[in-house]
Amino acid sequence: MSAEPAIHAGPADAAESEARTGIDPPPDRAPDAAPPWAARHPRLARVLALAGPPASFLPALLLEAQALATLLAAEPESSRIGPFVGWHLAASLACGWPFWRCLPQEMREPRRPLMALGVLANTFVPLLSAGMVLALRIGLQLRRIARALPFATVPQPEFELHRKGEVSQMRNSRLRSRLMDPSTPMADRVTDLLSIQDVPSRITADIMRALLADRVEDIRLLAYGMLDGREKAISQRIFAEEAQLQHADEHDRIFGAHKRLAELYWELVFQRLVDGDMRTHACRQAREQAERALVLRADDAGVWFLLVRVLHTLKDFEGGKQALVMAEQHGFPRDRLVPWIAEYAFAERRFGDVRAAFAELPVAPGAMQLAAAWHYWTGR
Amino acid sequence: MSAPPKPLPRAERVDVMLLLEGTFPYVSGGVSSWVNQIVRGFPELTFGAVFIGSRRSDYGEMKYALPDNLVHLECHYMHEFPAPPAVATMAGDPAAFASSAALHDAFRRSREDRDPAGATAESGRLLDTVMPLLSDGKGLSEQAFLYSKASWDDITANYRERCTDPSFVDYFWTVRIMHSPIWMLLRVAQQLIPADCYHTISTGYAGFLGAILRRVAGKPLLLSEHGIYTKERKIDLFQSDWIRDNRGVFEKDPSQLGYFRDMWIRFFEAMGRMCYDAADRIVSLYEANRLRQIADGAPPEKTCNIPNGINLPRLAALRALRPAEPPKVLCLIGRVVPIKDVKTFVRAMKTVVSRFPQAEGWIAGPEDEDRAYALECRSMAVSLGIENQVRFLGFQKIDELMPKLGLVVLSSISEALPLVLLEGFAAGVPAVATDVGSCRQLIHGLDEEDQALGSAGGIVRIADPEALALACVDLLSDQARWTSAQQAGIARVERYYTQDMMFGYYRDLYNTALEQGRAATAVTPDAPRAPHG
Repeated sequence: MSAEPAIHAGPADAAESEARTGIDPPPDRAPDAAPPWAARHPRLARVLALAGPPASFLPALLLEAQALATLLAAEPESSRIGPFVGWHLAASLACGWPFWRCLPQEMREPRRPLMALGVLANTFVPLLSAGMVLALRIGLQLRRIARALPFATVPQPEFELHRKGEVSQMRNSRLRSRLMDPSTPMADRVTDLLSIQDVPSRITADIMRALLADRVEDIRLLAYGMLDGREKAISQRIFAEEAQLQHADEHDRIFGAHKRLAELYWELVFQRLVDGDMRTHACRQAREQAERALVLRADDAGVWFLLVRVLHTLKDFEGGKQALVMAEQHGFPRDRLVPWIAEYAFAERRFGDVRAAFAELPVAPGAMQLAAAWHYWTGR
Repeated sequence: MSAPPKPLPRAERVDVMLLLEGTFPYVSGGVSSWVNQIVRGFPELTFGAVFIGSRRSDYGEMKYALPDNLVHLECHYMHEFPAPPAVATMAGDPAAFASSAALHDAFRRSREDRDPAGATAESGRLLDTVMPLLSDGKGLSEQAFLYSKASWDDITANYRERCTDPSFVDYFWTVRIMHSPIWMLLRVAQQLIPADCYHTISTGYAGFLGAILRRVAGKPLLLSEHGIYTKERKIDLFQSDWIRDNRGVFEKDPSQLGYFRDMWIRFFEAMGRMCYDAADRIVSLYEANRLRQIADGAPPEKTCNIPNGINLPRLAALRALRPAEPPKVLCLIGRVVPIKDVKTFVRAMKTVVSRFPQAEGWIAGPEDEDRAYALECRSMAVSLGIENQVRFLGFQKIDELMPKLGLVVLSSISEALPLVLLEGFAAGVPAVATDVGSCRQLIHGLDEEDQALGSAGGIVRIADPEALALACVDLLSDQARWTSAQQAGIARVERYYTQDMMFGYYRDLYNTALEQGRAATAVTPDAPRAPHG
């Protein structure tokens, strides 16, 4: 067994790293150091330990109270200031350790500067250090409450900004004319062609087919490669599915194979990857496979809907209309069938029915072309 | 138990050393047949051959019997990496890497240069300074490239300055793998037996070996390009899915190639330029390819066209064996591989059969080069329901096949000057071909005089089964037109494409090269470059 490369941090490493960075601070579980005077006053230390970390401010509070009492005593002002300052400084010194002690575990370093901060804060504003830790505790508590809400916290997205500035925008509007223009430099045409290789072929198939006759061989071969690659991907799935069908003996498997074959043959047509006789052949195969699937399971509304589209392409309008009825009977949403009802009516020149079908849709469909048809036929 | 393979022929020296990449004698096809024809056409010369392949396991037995005058054959496989040199800590020579950087800068500039031949010459001059440094113990030895600090500094600096892919790891290994054949080919060149001239049949690795040999041995180099290797590689690379592109969604500009893909393309372009620079004569099969070579950096004065030629008397004798009426048999003669687009032929047969139910489509060619593709083609015939009309015949002898055919069909997506069309014409069989390579010139004629001979068939665009089928149906259903096409084909091949003409041109080339080669004295890799063309 080969060793894992040390440079890759696995999930376990990531979890450990998260804990270290204190993204989700653990409760104060580390053993707390005892106060410096605990050895001399063990009973008091035990009582304070029982009261929890905030109780460690008690000596400081008592000293501060003494300082305040000194200040308010009925003695001349000159004789009150000195003892007050002394008691206050003592109280401030006593704040150092409890201030550090009350901080969350992950905030306790560096220890001495933090203690000095507690002392100084109390020196200039009495009880400020106690107020600071109180505010911090309340804040952390609120954060934990927020975490208990049924929402997951996702990490901030990290966008790789490497050479981002070099990215240019696609020139959709000019792309077609540039590609078809033989005076465009070949390198530009090649990059333009490459830029549309991820666009669905039902959109680009006509331009690709036109480029098969381009005078530049590079362009011809690229266009061919793109079309062929897509057609090959579907054809290979068809071959694999046909092979599975040969060996399928369970009802569900046979039905599934016929259904998938119908969909794959239709995909060749829908993506405009086949032309002429091959298109007719693919349509016929799609119909045959869909019909075989429906013999096995007549209640599959999806297959009926596929048949609606296939039969329209084959101009079998009677069969298509029956398939529309069956699709709806088996639960296919009416609003998705409406455009096809209109399509069949239009093919048979029943324009009133086209208008009636579109009128069923209360608002314009999302698809741009369909929306345009809806606006036209409904007059809205 | 099978008999042990016959040892490869070995010789002390040869007149002409052929540099062959992925072709004769282990792969059948047009180029291999041409090599076989050339070697047999010059029995007075001794030939050697260096076969460069991918992996030994990718090739089976030899597809051709070796001609008697091919007296030396050695095989080298690019993907069978020899053990790398021992790891050694070394500082490296920054000056040597600076020379290499200057050469790479010239390659980059050559892409934009308006004078491709000038850019090629500049690359050649810089290669002269780099080549001696590649030997063991020198500043750009394999060891220095793999292990030196200077090499690491060069790679990291280039990555920071130029690479638009975020992965340094992929960049590092791409650079290493891409350059590793250089030292392998250098070792091949250094150990190769003496020859009076070298003849490479493509650019690419074989062409680069030729460029090394031109410098190491100081003997003339001829280049005969059938297809344009760099272009074909480029098309492959555009669509290869083994090349990584690690750009994130916001970095990816669909109109820009991934960096590593572009890097591989530049690599093959540079190898092509180095071969063009080193070659004394650059031969193409037809004018369009010659112009393409010039656009890719070939010095125009070195270029010329020598079309393929066929053995006319042997094939002309087959005309007498033909039946009175053309048989309704359409035949694709060629290997069953994707570049021949056999699937388009099979699809076309669906349409042909719907017009002529008695028609048959034959595919005469070996299926062992790409078995998966061959299976796809067969499955397609079954799927289209024409498995009884489409027959896969495997390799066939032309002499037995031609009299039985009504049409030669070529559905290829890329060709140069296909011999099968010429053989068909000579045997009295017209053709329908796709508009690739010089097919239009062969069917309709090149200049006015040639065009006056008439059309020898039909031309259709690639990957258009319907058009291909209709062109075939038109020709087969019109006896007068078919006969006219037959006569045009015969007249064209007799006037322009005979073997004697081709041998005549090559005889001149070989004589000049051999004369120069015998006069030249061999030089060591460190010595200055021998003057040439």
